Amino acid sequence: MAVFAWQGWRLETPSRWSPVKLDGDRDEGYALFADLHRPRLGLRWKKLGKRTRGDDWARLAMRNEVGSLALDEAKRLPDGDRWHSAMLFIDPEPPGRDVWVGVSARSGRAVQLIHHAHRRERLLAEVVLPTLEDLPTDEPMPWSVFELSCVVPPGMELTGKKLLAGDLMLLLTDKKRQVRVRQVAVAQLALQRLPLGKWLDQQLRERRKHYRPLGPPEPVELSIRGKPVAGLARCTRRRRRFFFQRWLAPRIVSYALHDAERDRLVFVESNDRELAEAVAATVGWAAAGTRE
Amino acid sequence: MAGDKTKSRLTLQEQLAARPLPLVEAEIVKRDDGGAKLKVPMKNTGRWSSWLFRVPDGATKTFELDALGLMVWELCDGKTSVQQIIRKLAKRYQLNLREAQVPTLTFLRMLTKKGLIGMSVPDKHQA
Repeated sequence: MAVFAWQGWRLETPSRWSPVKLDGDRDEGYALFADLHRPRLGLRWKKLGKRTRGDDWARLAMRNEVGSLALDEAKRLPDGDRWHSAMLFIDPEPPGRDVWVGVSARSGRAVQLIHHAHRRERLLAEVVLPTLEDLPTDEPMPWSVFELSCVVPPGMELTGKKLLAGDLMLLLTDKKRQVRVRQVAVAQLALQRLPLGKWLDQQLRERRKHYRPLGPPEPVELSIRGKPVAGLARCTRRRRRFFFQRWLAPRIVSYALHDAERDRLVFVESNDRELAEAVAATVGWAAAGTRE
Repeated sequence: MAGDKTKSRLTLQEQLAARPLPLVEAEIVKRDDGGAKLKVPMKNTGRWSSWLFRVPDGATKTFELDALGLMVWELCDGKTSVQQIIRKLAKRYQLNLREAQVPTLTFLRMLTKKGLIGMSVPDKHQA
């Protein structure tokens, strides 16, 4: 099973499923999972308005998804600590769609899970659904997509992402701080092409217009998941001519680390050194919890 | 034929089921870093053009492959399907299937364009 943690949701999916489409923010969004052949699971969420009743929304969402006739066959699930207004529809004659809708008791967000079942399997009800969790916003927030996973302090929001095959990046920010986590696979091959120092230079090149490096890269040893990992660190400073651009952080510290255990290059950048080190320590948390 | 498109019309399912096989007899010179040089004999373009361009007999084209590329090339044996190649690659380098699929398909497309491999597509009506 693979862990997917995104915009406050956490769920486990079969490891052959990957997210192929990710849209939206914490209040409203969509994630589509597919295996090598076809779409398998859709996760859609939306913050309900104050006047919207959960039950009304659930019936409407279910009807839009499966139609009026099938709506009568959908099972209303009892309200619990985690979900209320939940309904489940299992298609009696696959191929078809199994749908679950519910409203999170924690955040009040409405969520739909749509499983494209091509044969009679109870993946949605028995495998995926029990693992779906709405994570609390006042605790450190885990993120996990493909092979990139990290935990950031509460309140940080996703403001940028680049999810290319073998090169994954998440940019998370709050009012004052920002942290960019990038992971390159496979480290062994990446380091054959360029040494770690050059990778770090390449990383800094994007910001060369606004920032200048302070001194040469320094060797560092950080802890990732409790194990020491060697790498390089470099500080950059906002160029003086951009003094008026207060929205640009005055200093940014960048780490380039070689996580030999997972064979990945990890880059962490932040305007707060402690935050960078704290986030770096959590990179790859989902890999440790993944099971077959 | 007018309007004939050279673009592949295979569906994703067919692409994954296809079994790539080499169309050239290539010499592989392995490097220490896990990669290799692939030496492919140049096609005889005809007596006059060979004379005009002074192409010596036994001239070869060389392709540089990294360890990943070499692994894929070695799996292009006409027996292993694209899907199996993707799975093996993902397993060997601990990649997500989607992360392995994208570069593998791109690489195989490039090899096909260069005329180094062909795709044996299973007949839809078989089995």
